[in-house]
Amino acid sequence: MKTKAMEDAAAIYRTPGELLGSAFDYIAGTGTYTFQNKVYASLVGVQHIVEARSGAADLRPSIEVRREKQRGAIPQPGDIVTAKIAKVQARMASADIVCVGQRAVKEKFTGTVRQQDVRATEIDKVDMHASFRPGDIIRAEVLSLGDARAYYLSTAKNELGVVSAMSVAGATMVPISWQEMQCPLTNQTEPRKVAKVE
Amino acid sequence: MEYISPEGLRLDGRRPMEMRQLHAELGVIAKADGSATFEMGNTKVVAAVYGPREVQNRSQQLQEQALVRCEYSMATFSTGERRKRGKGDRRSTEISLVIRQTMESAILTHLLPRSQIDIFVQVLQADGGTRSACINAAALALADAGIPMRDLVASCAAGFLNNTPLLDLNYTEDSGGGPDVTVGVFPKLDKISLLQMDSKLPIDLFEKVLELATEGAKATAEYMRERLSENTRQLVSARGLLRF
Amino acid sequence: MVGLSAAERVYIEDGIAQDLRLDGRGRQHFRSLSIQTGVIPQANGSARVRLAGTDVIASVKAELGSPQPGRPGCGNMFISVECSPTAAPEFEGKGGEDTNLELAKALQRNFLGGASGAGAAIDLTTLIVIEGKVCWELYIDGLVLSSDGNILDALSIAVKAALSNTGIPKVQVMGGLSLEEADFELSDNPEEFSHLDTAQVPVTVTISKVGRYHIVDATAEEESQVSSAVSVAVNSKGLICGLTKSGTAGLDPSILMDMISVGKRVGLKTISSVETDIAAAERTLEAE
Repeated sequence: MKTKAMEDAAAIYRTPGELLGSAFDYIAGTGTYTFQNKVYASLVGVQHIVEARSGAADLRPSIEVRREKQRGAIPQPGDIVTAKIAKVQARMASADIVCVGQRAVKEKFTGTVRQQDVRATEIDKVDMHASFRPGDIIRAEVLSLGDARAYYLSTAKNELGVVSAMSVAGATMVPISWQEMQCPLTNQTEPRKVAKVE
Repeated sequence: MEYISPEGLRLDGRRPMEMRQLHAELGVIAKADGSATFEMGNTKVVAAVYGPREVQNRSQQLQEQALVRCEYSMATFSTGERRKRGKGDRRSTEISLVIRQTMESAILTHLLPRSQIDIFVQVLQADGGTRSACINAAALALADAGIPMRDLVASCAAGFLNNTPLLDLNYTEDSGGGPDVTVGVFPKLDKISLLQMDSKLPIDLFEKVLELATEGAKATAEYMRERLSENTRQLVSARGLLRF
Repeated sequence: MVGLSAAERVYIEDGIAQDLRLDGRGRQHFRSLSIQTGVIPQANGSARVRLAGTDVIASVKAELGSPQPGRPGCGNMFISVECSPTAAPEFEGKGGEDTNLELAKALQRNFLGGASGAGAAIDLTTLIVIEGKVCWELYIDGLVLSSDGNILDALSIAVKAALSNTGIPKVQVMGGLSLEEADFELSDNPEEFSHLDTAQVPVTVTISKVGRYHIVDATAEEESQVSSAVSVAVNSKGLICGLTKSGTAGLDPSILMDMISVGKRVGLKTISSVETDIAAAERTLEAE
């Protein structure tokens, strides 16, 4: 039985530029790159060889170099992010991305939710002011790197949308349906695109 | 002036092909994404990397790759005579450019489009070979920051005085009026990334001096790899201890 | 920095109110301090101070010059500070100029004394070579390499350590009576170097107000919540050598006096441990 200490002792440390193997034997995983049919390391870290999933088209194992130090989070397409709405306009809302997945970001990124990306149905009849208000916290998915100014975000899925919002009276609202939230102080409902909380 | 004694020793007691003592440390600046100090004898520099981060000046943003920026500054106390201005002068601007271009050729910039990578190098003590120490420190800082690179960059300088090729000149030897060849290499890929020379040298001697500098750079690279692996080993074992 | 959320701000303030800060310290505790002297061999004196994530270097260079008109019996002392871009990207290019000036001015206020040369951290009359004509000028340079709050206090400790480490070469004047005419022979022998009397050199303690409480040695995160701060320079005799108020919020005079007395108390404690650390650092240096 391999103890953690034995595993650590057997770990192979790689630095950028080290030759890991031939591209015919391995798929280049994270922390590596291929050049002239050879796989080289591009990061400093521990080498890992991950066997191909059974049934996968390519049966070569993939070779990766994993860093020990964590880097600040950066949004990538497909990530679920937490953002705070900064501005709501007729056809889009802009938000400051605060967390990527479970990790807070080291510096602020700007995201845009366009009218057609707010929900999945009746996308041309979306009223932006009935979906978001400035100050709302939303959970969204990163669609793409967007334009020069901001990432494109989407709240079109059921579990995406407003997670937390303050009412005009100043209390944190409770969600009642996917379209409305209610203020506990005044019992007034306000329209939002609400995220379905499990 | 005699740079080599009759016994074949240089002013600081080294042999002609001997490099100065190297020392490097990683992760020295708290808030930087990556940082390193690099010492070659009495030359000491510190490099910090901030990035990848959002481009600060939108007009400079590159669609397909990362924007690499670099600033080189010298501390007022870094040279024998106190310097009034540590950055913005022509020499600093030129060295900033050289470091930027050398590191840019190593970074896999297409993996980080529309982002900015800032490299800041601060010279604490200048005793010859500052350019090389800065490049080595920057490469270590980039590796410490987890920025993907095709290879490390290692740099060293060599000269020619009293009819002998000399490796890793210090300030006094550098001021001797002889040629000074600085080379930056990708050690594993065996390619030259930076080559600079001042003064003049006949071609056959140039090849000898270049070869000497390249050997020095490769030896530096071995030391750098050792330090990086050692640093990873410490991080891994720290993590291991926390598990129990 | 991204900026703290409302919850984080409340957490920091409440922690401080209960004498338990983010890193477990009490309100009046300094972080762990490490001092190294003689780090810049080509300077006359130098020191490097690490206060957790804050890392600064101070160097002292002695050059021959002329006394200022009006104070023929005093040497000169100049202090300047530079924040390296390695500490933060904002210090790139000319970005650090405002901060550099602010820090330099605060240090000058604490160390330089009045226009007549009286009340300076070290006795400026000891720097005279030829009365009225030639004197030593000390150029003190601070460099901030890394910052996690409380740069001013770290710099003041570094300057004190660098001055303790400073050796002034023995000067022999040969012929001529002024700077331009005379020939000076400077001794190269370190044994013949004279040291400065640094018994009066103060240490700065910055007291920051967060909510209704005062803290000492704020981290960068805590500094973002500070409404106003008072930096007090205290010497080993308990005398206040300089005072700087920063921050935009106004302070009630009684609160101000309160903060100053906290500063004096912490300052006395700190200065004695700093002096012990400096002596230890110098001994390590000699042993090498």
